[in-house]
Amino acid sequence: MSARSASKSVGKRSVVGKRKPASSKPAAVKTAARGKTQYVPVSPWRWQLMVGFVCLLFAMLFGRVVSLQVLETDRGYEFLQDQGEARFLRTSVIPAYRGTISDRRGEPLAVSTPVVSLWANPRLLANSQRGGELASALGWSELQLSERLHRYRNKSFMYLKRHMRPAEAEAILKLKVAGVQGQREYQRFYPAGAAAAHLVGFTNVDDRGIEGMELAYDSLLQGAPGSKRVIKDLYGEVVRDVGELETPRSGADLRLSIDLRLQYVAHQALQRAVTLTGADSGSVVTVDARNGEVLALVNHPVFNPNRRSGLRPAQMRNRAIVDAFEPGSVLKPLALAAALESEQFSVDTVIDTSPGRYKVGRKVLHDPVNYRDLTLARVVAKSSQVGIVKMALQLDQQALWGLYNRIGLGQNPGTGFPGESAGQLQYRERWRDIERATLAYGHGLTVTPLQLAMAYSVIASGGLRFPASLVPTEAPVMAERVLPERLSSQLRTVLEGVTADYGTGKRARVAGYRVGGKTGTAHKASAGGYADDRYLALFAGMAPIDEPRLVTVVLINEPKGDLYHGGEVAAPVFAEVTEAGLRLFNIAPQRLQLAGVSG
Amino acid sequence: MSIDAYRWPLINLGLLLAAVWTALAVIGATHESRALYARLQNLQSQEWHMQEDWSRLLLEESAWAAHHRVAKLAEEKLHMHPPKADAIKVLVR
Repeated sequence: MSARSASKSVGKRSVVGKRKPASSKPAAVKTAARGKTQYVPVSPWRWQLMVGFVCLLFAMLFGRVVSLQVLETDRGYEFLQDQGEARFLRTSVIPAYRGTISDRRGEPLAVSTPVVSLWANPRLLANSQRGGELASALGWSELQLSERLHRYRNKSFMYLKRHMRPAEAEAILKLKVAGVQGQREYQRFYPAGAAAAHLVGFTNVDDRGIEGMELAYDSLLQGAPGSKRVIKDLYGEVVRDVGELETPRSGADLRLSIDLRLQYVAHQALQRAVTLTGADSGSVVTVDARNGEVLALVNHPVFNPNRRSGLRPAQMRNRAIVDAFEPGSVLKPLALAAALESEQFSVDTVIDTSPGRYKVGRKVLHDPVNYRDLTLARVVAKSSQVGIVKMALQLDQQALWGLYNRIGLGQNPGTGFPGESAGQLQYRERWRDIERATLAYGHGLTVTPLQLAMAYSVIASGGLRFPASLVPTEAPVMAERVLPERLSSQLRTVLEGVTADYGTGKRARVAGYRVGGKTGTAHKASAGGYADDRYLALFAGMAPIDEPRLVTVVLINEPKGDLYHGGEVAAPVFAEVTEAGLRLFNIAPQRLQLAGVSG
Repeated sequence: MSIDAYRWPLINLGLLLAAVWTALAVIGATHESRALYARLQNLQSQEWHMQEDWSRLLLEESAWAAHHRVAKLAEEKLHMHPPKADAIKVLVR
């Protein structure tokens, strides 16, 4: 025991200071070199040193193995396992089914259908002898395929054809050309086509909404894609599915508030009117007066959402929500509302409009003829510029602005549609006469067709202001009272007068029903003032007038030729849409003989 | 806490059997999971094909039943027209 400990201490020393053992070693060798074989007992520490050294090496090796495979160190087994798996295990995405968009009755507006996208590994395919076979199956020439292969020669992924019908793709995949694989995806179809294109919007090739309601409700419609683990070989081809990591969650369905039947009618009526008048663009909006739901919303120019190549941005704009313009005379009923509210005027107050001209500041306002004495109801019915301005200038400074603001002009209608415009309604501390005058006949501010429809639905609903909604609302809808009930019914009587024989909106009449509304023919602003030959033809109205349900705004932008008045161009479209709407929503006619049935 | 010498082989045998059993159980469980996953994939592909059929039929239905097509057929084939206002009688109970 004592000798061991001594040798150990020597060995230890030898490790610490190498000199001593080095000096004793040559002595033993010397004696052997002299020829006489002499066994010199080697001190045991030398053997022990070697064994200790070898053990140490094993211990280090073992320690390293433990640290790599057992202990949770920084670059331990987890890291190594991941690295190993990364060489062959891949996570691939399982696409989620995008929710369907439908109209209020469940008619489909946007539907996803499963499709297959064919892709290839160009490096593998380039070596394939079967390029010709593949090309003909794809309907390409061999040259086309080789050009494509050349373009992607340094990549290991290229699409051959995206969004093929599954049966067609299956046929090509059955050829089993090396490097060609299918990938399941979804493609969006829009059965309503152009009629609802602006409202519904569309998705891009990767199934993400990029326009319209597809964009606004993208996260709802989208769902969550799942994932699965697959084993891939050296060439990136899937060898085997290992298991599902996450189940894909289908997107929710979205129901819009529009009625596709009315939407079609509005679409066709607008298209016909635009073709007839040679107008540049146009919009029709129909709103439910009882809850602010949009029942139809169409625009021109249109586009086909199912075939979108060569699309211009101007075609895609949802003008009814996004574009604001100076509305002109259609705002006169709102100016009248401000006057009635002030109690300085009643609808029967007579205004002298002779001689058909009126000077405000440096500007002279004209009526088409001298209407002489008009009641305020007739001022609106005839759309007398002079009458409405004379009335407006007697009102309180802020009266017009206050009412326009309260009724929602200059504010977002609240649909959440991407790019929704709030129009412009500027506030001023002091109003010059000309500013108040222009405000009264609908200039110096801008509104969108949707805003105009919402403003008119305040009159239609008996003074309640609803937020506009593109999806069905849940009763009861929160509304704000902005006009007294009695006042709004007076306004409706005035609006009905516009469609009377003496009014400007005769052509808005609908057989069997009493309707009301207001025409507008606004000069368009251009560089250096208002253009003489560029107009907006408008009609905003409601039906049936006693208890309005449908509020419709028609806008025809820059009609060419002799017909350009709102009463000539826009009113017939209003009549057509309203007639269909009243029938579709089962609203009983009023001006008919009633046949009593007993029991 | 000493164990009698004759018990060691028994314990070892027991452990060996347990090890073999768990190994077999792992094989069994792996097989079952693969079989289930294969079934899942099978069902998913069925779902896929049904979805394809469903959406195709939905599109077909909406194309055939489109409002303007029905209106056109009613007018051209069946010679129907919306009633004039004077032809409508409202029945009031």
